[in-house]
Amino acid sequence: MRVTARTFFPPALTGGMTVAGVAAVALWLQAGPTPAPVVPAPAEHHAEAPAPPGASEDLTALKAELARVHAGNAALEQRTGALQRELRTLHARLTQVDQAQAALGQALTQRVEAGPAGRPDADPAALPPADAHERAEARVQAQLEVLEDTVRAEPPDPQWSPTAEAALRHTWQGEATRGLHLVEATCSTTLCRATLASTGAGVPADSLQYLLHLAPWPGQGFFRVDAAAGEAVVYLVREGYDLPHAGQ
Amino acid sequence: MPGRPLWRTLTRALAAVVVLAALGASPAGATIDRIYPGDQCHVSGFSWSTTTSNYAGIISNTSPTNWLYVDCPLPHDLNTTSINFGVVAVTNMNPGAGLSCTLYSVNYGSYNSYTGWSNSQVTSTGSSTQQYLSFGSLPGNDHYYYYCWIPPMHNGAASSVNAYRINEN
Repeated sequence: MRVTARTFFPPALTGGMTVAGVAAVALWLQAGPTPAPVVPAPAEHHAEAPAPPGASEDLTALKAELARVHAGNAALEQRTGALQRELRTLHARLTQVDQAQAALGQALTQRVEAGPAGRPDADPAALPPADAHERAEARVQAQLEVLEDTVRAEPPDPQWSPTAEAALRHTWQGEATRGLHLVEATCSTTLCRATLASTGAGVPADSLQYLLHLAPWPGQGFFRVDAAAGEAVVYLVREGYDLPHAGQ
Repeated sequence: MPGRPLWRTLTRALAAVVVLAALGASPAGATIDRIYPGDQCHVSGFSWSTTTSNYAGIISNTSPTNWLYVDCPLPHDLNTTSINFGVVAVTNMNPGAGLSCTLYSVNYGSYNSYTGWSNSQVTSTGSSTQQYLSFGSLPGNDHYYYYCWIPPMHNGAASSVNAYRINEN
């Protein structure tokens, strides 16, 4: 199925929002609920009553306890403030991520709708790429080597090869073949190679298509027409077989 | 701060989501599957017959005696590298001749010099029912096209190329 930005991004955005939600919840859970400040009930103050024995030590201990409570309360408030700041920062970053996703989705959608010319690496002046001819030639050479190796390696099939060669000679040597005549036809077990030469100057443009149409059996083939040399070579695979390809 | 490692992990996870979304939505490696009406084919300059009829999106050979050769262009998508398969829908009304099509994957190097792959298929019978010529995979090349030979009319009935399909990846 062809995946487009339009079809892909709605689930991606949903996933992003889900992750963001999980992030926020996880952060809250890790931080734990903010504990309520533990403030002891205020001690009753009896200013008029005479101080009982030991009251001075109790008062000092109470003051010390109050100081510890105040210090703890300040620490809690400080921690709560820090957590709130972190949450605000995280929220801001999640907003940025959402905006970035939306912008990316829009850009990809535009690129898909614009086609290949919309690709950032697509330079109209460089289509096809400058090295396309060299790569095509290398691919052709590799293909020719694979086919030639196959023809040489496979022994002829006595049940098929002579018949196939005769059929090629009959169809490609008989009637007018538009400027090409068959020089040689050799068939191995699954593949035939036919060499053709021009009867005049160059190779007429439609000759190969005409010859392939007249081929005695349907199927895959590979061809190379060299007008300057006035020759062509055609490989035809036996019906029911696949043509060997370079890289297989 | 106890929450900081988790915060960093989640931020990285969100960044990964964005990157994966971008990769997953990339148009590179797309599969192209297109069907063209037969009347997109045009008469070859070498055709014996030039009498054609176009109606209902098909191209027919209306010559009672001569074959019609047609080129059927296949716009090559730059995001694909090879041909998966192809299909040509035809009607062959001539029981005495096969309607054949060849799928070409061609690189035209210099004047009248070219190389490439071909796959030829032919109808085995004449029939008023639409038939399908199926083509297997071919390596990618500079450009693709079908070349079809449509037999002459038989008893006043014209054979035709009705539609053609290409699947690239």
